[in-house]
Amino acid sequence: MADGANANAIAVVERRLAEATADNGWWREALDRATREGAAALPVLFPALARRLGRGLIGGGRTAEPSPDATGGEVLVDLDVWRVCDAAGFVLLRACTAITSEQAVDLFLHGDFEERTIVMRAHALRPVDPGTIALFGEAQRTNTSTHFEALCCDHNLPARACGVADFGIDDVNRMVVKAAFMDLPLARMFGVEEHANAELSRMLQDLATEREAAGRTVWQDTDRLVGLAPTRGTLLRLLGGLEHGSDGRRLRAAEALARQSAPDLLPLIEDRIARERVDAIRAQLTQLAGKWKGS
Amino acid sequence: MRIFEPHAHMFSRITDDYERMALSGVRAILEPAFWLGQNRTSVGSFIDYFDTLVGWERFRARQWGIHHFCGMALNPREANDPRVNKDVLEILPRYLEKDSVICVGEIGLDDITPIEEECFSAQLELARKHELPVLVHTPHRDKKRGFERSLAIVKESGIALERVLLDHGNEETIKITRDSGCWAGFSIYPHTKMDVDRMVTIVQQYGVEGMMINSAADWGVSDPLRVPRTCLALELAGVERDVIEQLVWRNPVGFFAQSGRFDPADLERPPNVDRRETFDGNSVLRGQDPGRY
Repeated sequence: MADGANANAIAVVERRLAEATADNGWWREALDRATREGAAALPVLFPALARRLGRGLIGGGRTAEPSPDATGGEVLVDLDVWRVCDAAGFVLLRACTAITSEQAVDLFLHGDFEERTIVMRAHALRPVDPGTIALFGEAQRTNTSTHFEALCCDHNLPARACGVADFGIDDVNRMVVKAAFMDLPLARMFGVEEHANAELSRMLQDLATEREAAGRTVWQDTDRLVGLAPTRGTLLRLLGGLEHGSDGRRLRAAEALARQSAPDLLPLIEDRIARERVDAIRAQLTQLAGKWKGS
Repeated sequence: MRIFEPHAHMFSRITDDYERMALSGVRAILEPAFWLGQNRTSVGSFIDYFDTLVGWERFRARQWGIHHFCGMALNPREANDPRVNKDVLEILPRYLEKDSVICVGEIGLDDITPIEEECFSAQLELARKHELPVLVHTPHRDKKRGFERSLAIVKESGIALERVLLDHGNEETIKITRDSGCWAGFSIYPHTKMDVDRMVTIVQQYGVEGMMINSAADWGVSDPLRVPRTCLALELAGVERDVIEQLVWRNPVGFFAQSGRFDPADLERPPNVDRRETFDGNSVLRGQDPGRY
């Protein structure tokens, strides 16, 4: 790992872990062993992390720092979701000078529920490497939401990894659609909005149509994301959203429309403003109408 | 009646068995690692099996409110197989550290060969190292001699005898086990090993101290409800309910709690159940409403 990269986040993780493991002889021995023996020691140490060190949250809030790898940009992580055992897993991985892709995947595949969570979450603060990409493949294969979330939510690892090795925009798209399928909030997938694209919008709109046909709920961030990269049908979907009975859906449609430019449709917006009963939505639409009038 | 089933190979059973066991009072299961009815030819088959025991089976049991624990081991039958024995012993330490692994087992003797004895001793040492109790499979052929030899190997290992369960016992072995200070396990089968009526007689004669009963349900003719059936037979024979509960709940809970891997108080309520959850994409649900039984 490059010197100084992620320094603040890592310092927080190490400090909170040290506080939580003060006087814990097992942890001192485990760390010594990982440092001494390298990755070969991890399969025996990881299973005991949650049991020996606990699952208490370490806190620390959100951090944003330069990326430790060649991807550039920033590493964004919400340490509030990290637990003591997650922090310990990260520190153990870091103590081993080299972890191969096979070793990272092995820790996941042959780990129990907690080990798998720890392996996934710890990668949020690690440089993107072939092991990271392989773990995205495992995340895409699992429907255990905890493991998927650990690798894809509360940090910007997917956004950071996009373009590295074989992990391209198609992979990000499939991951986002899976998150939508699992009803995970977009707000927890840091940086994904920057990768909005027309194909992702098509996929999300198709999923929404399918859900609507079945009388099921639609991912609530659909409007927001498709509004960032409109494709065929996006404008009609958003306009239709303005007539929805749900206040939330109307507000999200209005917010997404604010990113569009369709002055010809201004009379439709003005008609909706006249009938809209929720102040926040009316204000949003009024702002939109002003923008379209001026364009 | 709450039941801790201390020996059932759920890997070989259908999901309906979990439901029937839950309806019959089974609230926790210990699934020891064993032979699968067919010899394995590579360590990879063991790895996948072990992963199933700490992952999928736990999830499947939880669907019915049952706590699932397991034992890890190179079983005595395959200890004789040079294609796998050394490699399995090498991977065991990793699995013996898993949260849901609460004993080393089934280990012991089957054909009573030198290599079985060697693997038995090696795994007793692993049990000491990982601070786990031991579930010992005793031979079905030449039972009494195998039992005595098993006990001798256990004593040579230096492991505390109260951390050892000598399983598949019968009328011939109970006194040996009792005198040794080990726990005595009885596998209640439809036709072989121990049956319900004989078990009632044993309880009436010896009481239930240091004793537990199991179905050892597996891929052959066996019955995962043999423990609840035995409970009923004991009650009908006049054994007090509190004594029966000691046999099928407090004894196994106390024995396996020596692992330090679970809090007995946690067994008083079901594990977290969300039947909408999935395991690696498999929900076990077959289109039914997860909220309805």
